Amino acid sequence: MASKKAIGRVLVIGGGISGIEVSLSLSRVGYGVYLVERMSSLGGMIPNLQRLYPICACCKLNPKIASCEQDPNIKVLTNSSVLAVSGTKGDFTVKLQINGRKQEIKVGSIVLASGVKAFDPSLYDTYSYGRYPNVITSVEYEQMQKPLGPEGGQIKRPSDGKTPQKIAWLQCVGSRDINTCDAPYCSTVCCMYALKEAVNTKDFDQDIDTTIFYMDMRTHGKGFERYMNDANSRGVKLIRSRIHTIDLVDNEDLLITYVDDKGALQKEKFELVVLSVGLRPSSEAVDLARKMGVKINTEGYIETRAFSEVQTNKAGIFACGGITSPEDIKGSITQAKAVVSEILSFLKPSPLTKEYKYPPLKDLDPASKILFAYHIPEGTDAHLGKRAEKIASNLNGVVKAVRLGEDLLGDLRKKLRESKANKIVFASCSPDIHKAILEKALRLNGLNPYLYETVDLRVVSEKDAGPQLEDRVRAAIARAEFLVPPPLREIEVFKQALVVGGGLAGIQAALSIAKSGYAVTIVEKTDKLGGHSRHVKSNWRGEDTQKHLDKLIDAVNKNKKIKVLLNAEVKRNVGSPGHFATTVRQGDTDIEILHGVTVLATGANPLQPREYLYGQHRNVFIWSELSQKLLEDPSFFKDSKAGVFIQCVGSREPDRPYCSNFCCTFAIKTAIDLMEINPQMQIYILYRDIRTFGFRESLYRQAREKGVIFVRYEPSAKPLVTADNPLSKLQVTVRDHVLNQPITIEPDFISLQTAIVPEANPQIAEIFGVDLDEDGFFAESPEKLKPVESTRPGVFLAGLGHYPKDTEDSLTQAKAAAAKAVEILSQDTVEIGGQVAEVHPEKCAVCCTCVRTCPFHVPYIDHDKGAAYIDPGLCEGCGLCVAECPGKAITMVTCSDEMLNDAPAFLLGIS
Amino acid sequence: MIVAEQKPIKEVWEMVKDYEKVLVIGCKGCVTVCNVGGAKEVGVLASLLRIAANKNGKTMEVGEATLERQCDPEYIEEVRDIIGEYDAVVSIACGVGPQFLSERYPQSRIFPGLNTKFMGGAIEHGVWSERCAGCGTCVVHYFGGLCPIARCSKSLLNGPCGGSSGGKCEISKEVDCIWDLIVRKLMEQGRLDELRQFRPPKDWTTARDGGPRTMIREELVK
Repeated sequence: MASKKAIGRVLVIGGGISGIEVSLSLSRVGYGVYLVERMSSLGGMIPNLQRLYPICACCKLNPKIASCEQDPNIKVLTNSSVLAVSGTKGDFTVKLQINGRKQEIKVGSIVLASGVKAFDPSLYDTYSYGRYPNVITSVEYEQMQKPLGPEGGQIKRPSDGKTPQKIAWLQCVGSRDINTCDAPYCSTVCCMYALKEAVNTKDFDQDIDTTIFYMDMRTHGKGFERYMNDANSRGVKLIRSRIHTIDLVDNEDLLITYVDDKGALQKEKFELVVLSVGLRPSSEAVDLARKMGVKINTEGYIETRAFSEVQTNKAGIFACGGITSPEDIKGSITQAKAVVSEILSFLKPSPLTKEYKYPPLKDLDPASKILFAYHIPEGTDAHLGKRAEKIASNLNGVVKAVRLGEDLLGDLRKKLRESKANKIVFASCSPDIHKAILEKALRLNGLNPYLYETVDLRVVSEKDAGPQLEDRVRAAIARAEFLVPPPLREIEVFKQALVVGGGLAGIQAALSIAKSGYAVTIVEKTDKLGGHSRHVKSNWRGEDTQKHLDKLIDAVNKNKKIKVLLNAEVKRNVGSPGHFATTVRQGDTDIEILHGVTVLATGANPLQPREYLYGQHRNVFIWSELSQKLLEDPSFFKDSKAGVFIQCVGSREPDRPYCSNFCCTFAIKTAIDLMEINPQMQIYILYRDIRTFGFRESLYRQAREKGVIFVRYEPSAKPLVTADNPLSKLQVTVRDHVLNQPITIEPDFISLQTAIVPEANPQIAEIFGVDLDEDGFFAESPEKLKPVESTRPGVFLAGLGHYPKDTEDSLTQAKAAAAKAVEILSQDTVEIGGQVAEVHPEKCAVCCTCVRTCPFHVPYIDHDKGAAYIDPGLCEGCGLCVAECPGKAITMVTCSDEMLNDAPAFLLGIS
Repeated sequence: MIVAEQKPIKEVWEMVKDYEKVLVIGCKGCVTVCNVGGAKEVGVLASLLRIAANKNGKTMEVGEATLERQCDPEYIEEVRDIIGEYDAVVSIACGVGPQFLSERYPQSRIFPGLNTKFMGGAIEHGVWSERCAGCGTCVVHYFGGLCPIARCSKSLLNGPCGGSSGGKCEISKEVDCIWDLIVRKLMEQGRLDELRQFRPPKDWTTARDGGPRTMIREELVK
């Protein structure tokens, strides 16, 4: 099949986080990428932000930008735009304008990744933005919060430069509004960013009063609900009210009038008002998409195909990130990876440059010959670098001290060759982002890639720069003297994937990997594929889930690369990325599978509740049962006069403080479906916050138009369900928030939207050595912003075991996990060793200190050896075990005791 | 394992401050496992002594050695050739170490660098708890596998006493009442009745009360 695939490169339009992620992933699986960005630099929206929940923005983005710029397989074209596109899937011709010059390229696929812009509230009278100086947008507020921003991280209000003591955030500005701003959808990200801004304000000064005015708090993502609870406990006030007027009062302060929970009119004065502005698709990108024949939806975003959030109506043209719908960063990254998976399924990679062939490693000359190289971007003051160069050139061991030009890799290689140096000491601002280049340069010159040290110029303050710089340069050179090459070893990659779980996510992941050309084994513990999606009628867009599921299962059965093990369970797993061995038990037989990657798609179950007469009255269902009933016996609802949906059953509770994500959308979609069967039926949805994020908001509007009644309840006054006996009429009593008095409903049936609980996770986590988060779902990589990567390298996540999500999101995540899997499977070998810890068994007291201290759970006691063992393929090289080992049985050659003890002595001049 | 803790550096410094050459000897047995007397701690203590000497304007050369165990004469031999070069020796083993060293090297001044605490195990990394008092007649099987000799403040065999409150011992809120745990354990196992059995006073002659102990296994003695 693979031979029929077209061969080609890929054009990525838009250099924001989605574009960057898609380019990097494409390059990793072998595609040459043209990355076109309209502006003069990559980064998109993120550089405007202070922090990304929960981490600093720049430390994650800058290395990615650097990787794009340094990747020989990615051609970054800034100040560029696409003029015209012709051709079809596998064979597109694209006319580009690059820095004013015109150029034509050929690509096999195109990715639209130009993202979003913030809504401009000046069009909106209500908020007086632009008229009152102290009304600003959330983007402007984040700029102010940035430590390296124009205000140096100080929060100052525009009118008088004072730090405001009372700040209000107004939610849904430019979202969920069809009257003024023509945006019926929810922008998805604003609740979280408002909370984040308020919490960061509290970090800046705990005494600043922060209030968020909202309609529904939408903290539906992984860890989000906890973040909101923490914000609450930090004193961030949340008031449910949509603000209609802001009045200017004395001293440029702002008076907000609102109606509180009890219906009373309140007036409160604030010193600064932040408008939580919604997202809009980039208009240039939408125009371009239109020109390419790509369909645009009614909300003005790119329309994507049924059961694919990234596929446009034009074959071979994909879209990801904010251009498809309002998405947060992790969502955008997941989509970017899913795009890679889609492209892999029809296009064979064609790189831009030939793969580097590394020469064999030379033996290290015992005498250190150090090349001191530094990089200061052109156009910036190079005096620090020049001083460092002068210091270094006078030190023993340094054979050459040079400044590098913009072609870092080329320059480094040349200088290494000319100077015959065997180690590098490299100085720059944030040298961390250049590590890959340093390693490559050494390797290309036949040297062990870990023979380098770095000097971070950013941390040298202007005051007394001389002595600081001298110390840092001398320390780095002293350390470099002690560097010895760590052992490296290549191991074969087993070109097969193991997918655990045969639900929708598992099936999709397996199919995507198989379509990329690799064998897959699916392990499913039940006797059939499909999992919980078997009782889902449709996705939120109303497309038939059962039909799609049947199609996928059929494709799995027909695909020769996929092997399905039913009634099978995983028992044991060992190994490292590229090289895993898993024992699967099927009946009485143990099957040994050698595989390069693992996808955990083990799913989750709806909670079986004890409240609301569940299990006691035959017409009280949990959502999955109701859904099944709707599929199998729709006539049941024909004569129903009334139905009640109770939300958040077991979710958002103290012992389960997370939102189960899709229950609001499910309840509303099902209510609409039910009313289509029986338009006379009266449906009540009893909720805490309606969380129909993104375009799902249109369902909420549709349901209200159809007459579904929404009654909000407080967790302290939950609905009461009663019935005289299991066959008699049900009664639901709930306090209505508008009438402020109890109402009684007599429904024919009740659907309980119960929490999604990953029951199998503890066992699976134990077997695969991955961490769980606080809520029991699979934890994501501690490196952050890696939404499909577990805490263990080579083990990827998809579906509900990672976090509750709907069909669409599960499919996207499964494709993303598949793309990550292929990144490993497409390699022939993986290298292990390098900066890793090594146990010397003769010194090991098997005390378990390393086992207990390792944050990545890598060391274990190997009973055959009678000593601890650290898998070099898994070790992250953090060095904690080396420091903690009470027997000094663990070492890391790249950071030896000798180095730590003697380098300071060198610095102090006492060696 | 035998669990020990480091003596305060000031105390160790007071012991050795007047010596010019000091040897720190660690042990690869229990005290390595409880992170207090292995090669790493030898290095740390030696560095601390060097720093203290520097601060106090003294000249002190500090040597480092870690023995396989300080409770077997063969390993005590490992420092035979070097111990004579030192004016003082700090043993960071349990109390057995300094004594074995003193017995083997009668000319040397041997100091203890640790306080030996108890026989116990790690509850979690960095937390150890007493489990055995070495009474010489093990009775844990009567009490759901929990030892009231080591873990009851009064070593009661027929507890709990009136000082048990809310699962804690009256001596401190930090101390679990082991009798509370014993009762709960036996309730869980449905064997609470067994506690009706009166346990007569214990013969303490097998414990420390019978004086210093020696154990001889005839079949092992040559």
